[in-house]
Formats: sequence, C-alpha cells, structure tokens
Amino acid sequence: MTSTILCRATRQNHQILVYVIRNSSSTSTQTSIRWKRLAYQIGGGLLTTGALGYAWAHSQALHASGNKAHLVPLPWSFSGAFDSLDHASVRRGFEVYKQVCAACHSLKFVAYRHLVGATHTEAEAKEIAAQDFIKDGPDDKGEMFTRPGKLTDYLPSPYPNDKAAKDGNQGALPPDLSLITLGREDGCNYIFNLLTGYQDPPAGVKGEPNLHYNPYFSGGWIAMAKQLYDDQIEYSDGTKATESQLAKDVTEFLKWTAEREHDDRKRLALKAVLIFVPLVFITYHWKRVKWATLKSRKISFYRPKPKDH
Amino acid sequence: MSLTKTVYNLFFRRSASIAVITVVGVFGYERAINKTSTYLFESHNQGKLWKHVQPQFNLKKEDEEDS
Repeated sequence: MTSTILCRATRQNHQILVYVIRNSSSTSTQTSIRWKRLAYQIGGGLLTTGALGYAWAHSQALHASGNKAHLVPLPWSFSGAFDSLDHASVRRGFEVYKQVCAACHSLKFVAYRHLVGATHTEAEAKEIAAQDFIKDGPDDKGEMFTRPGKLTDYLPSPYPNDKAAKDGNQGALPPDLSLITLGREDGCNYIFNLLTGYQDPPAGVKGEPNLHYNPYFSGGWIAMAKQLYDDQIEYSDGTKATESQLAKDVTEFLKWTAEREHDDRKRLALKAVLIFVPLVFITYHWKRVKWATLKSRKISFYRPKPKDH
Repeated sequence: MSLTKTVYNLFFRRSASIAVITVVGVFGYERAINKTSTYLFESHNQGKLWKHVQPQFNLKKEDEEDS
C-alpha cells in the first residue's frame, strides 16, 4: 500500500512532500543505516555490560586486610529469588531465642501478634504471651504494675535499659536482635559462623579477661561466651538439637524478625514477573506500530512552480 | 480477515463495549495472575510455608492430649 501525503509549507516558499512507502525494497542508504544502528546497539550493550561488571567486581569485597575470619557461605532455604523461609525452622528458632538468647538479648520490634500465622497459631501465640510478664501502667494509684502478656504486646526486654544491660555483662552491651541480620554484613552467614565459631585461641595469643576467642568476630575477642551446645534445649517438633541445628534455626528466626515481609515480598516478585513480562512484549509491539509510519516515510523538498499573476 | 473483522465489530467498535471489555478483562486478568503466582510460589516452596507446616504441630498437640 502506498499513499502520498502532500504538505504545504509556506516558509521559504518550499513544499514538503511526504511519501509513505511501505513494502518497498531496501536501498543502500537504508542498509548502511541498519549497520550503523546495529553498531550502536552492540556498542551500547558492551558499555552496559562493562559498567555492570565493573560495579559487580567492586562489590566483591576481598577483606584482605580485615581483622576477622572469612565467613563460610551456607545454603540457606531462603537464598533463591523465589525461595520462602522455612517456617518450621523459624518456629524452632523462636524456641532457641526464648530459651537461650532472651536471657541477655532483647527483641523489641517483635510482638506476639507477629508470630500468628508465621510460626504459631493464634491460640499458641496467646499462650506464649500469657507466660511472659509485661510491665504496664500507670494504674489508678499512679504505679506501674506487671501483668500477663497479650497478643498486642512486644516481647519484653531482659534489661530495663542499656546501662543495666552493660552492668549485667561486664560492660558489654548485648545488641537488640530484631534487625541484626540486616545490621551486620552478610548477616545470616555471620551469625551462624559466629555462633558455631568459638575455639581456643592460637598458641601465644593472649586475650582480655572476660573475653572469648572467636575468629569470626571483629578483632577475634567477643564478650559473649559460647552459648549453643548439643542437646541444650528440646525442640517441640522432636528435631535433634545439635549445635549447628540450633545456630541454623535461630539464624533463620532472626532473618524472619528482620524481614517479616520476606515471603510476601517474594510472592509479589513472582506476580510482578507474570505481569511485566507480557507487558514488555505488548509495549514493544505498540512501539513498532506507532513508529512504522515514521520509519518508512521519505521527505523530499522541491521548489513549487511559480504562480501566474 | 473475517475473524479479525468479527472481533473488531463485536468488541472494539463501540466505546461502550470496549469499556466493558476492559473492566471485565482487568478483573479476570488480575484473578488469573493472582491464582497463578500463588500456585507457583506455593508449589515452589512446598513444605516450607506456615500453611504447610502448621498441620504437623496441630497433629502433635492432639496426640499429646490423647496420651
């Protein structure tokens, strides 16, 4: 189909003739334009790949001058783009936190209601909350009092404030664990390696009193003593509580406390992929349709015939 | 050609019909996407989500009550 559009342009006394040519054979000019375009595309692709590769290489920190041992990466159940947390493990991790970590570490951004539908049923979460004592008040006489916990309460901290926590731990402050996996570099691997990494110091190395040797801690000496031992607690689901099992479960639990939206986020990522992949094709097709006339037209200039007066 | 013409006459010719098509289509598309993504996510993470894990604990609890 060939149609001709004639435009009149009064400026410079020229007329613009626009041909719309379709299904025409390609001329040598068009071929050279195609090669030029291909060259630009390849060049742009190489440039982008190079920039991304450079950024990636920079992100691969070597830590050659670090003062701690390199972390051993572990095959976490949530490491893939669409992999969810293992909620049985998160539940066991809560048991570890409650029976071991909670003696010193607070978890002040987690409420009992967060456990519902993630690690416990509503009835179980209520039962767990009721076993803890929460400071509330003031009452009618202006005094603070303690009462059994409710679903809306946040987990109680072991110390009333940081000063008390330091005083109870030879001057070292046990950090709040709510966001710890995000707060440390390579958080999950770090916590697992740290919890299982206690060992005797190398010969000739002397540490401070009240500090414990752990190569995965910055500087090698940590105030927290080794906490996890085989069969230290009894899991409610009957899993054998080895040291590495305890460390793995509590790490997975802390991953959950830091990113409670983790599973929803990955579910939505999958949904976004399903929506946007068809949209890419539709958009590409739409662009081609809209540009078809622009790309296949030819503009020529000619001087109009002098008018008769 | 005839098929595209029929489709055009049926669905795209009037603004009213395309508006209805859009509304109904969005509803169906959203639902289909939701169902598909949930199905894919849950089959990919079979046995790890709370809804898969929960029955084990309930069963255990009932057993304890029985014994």
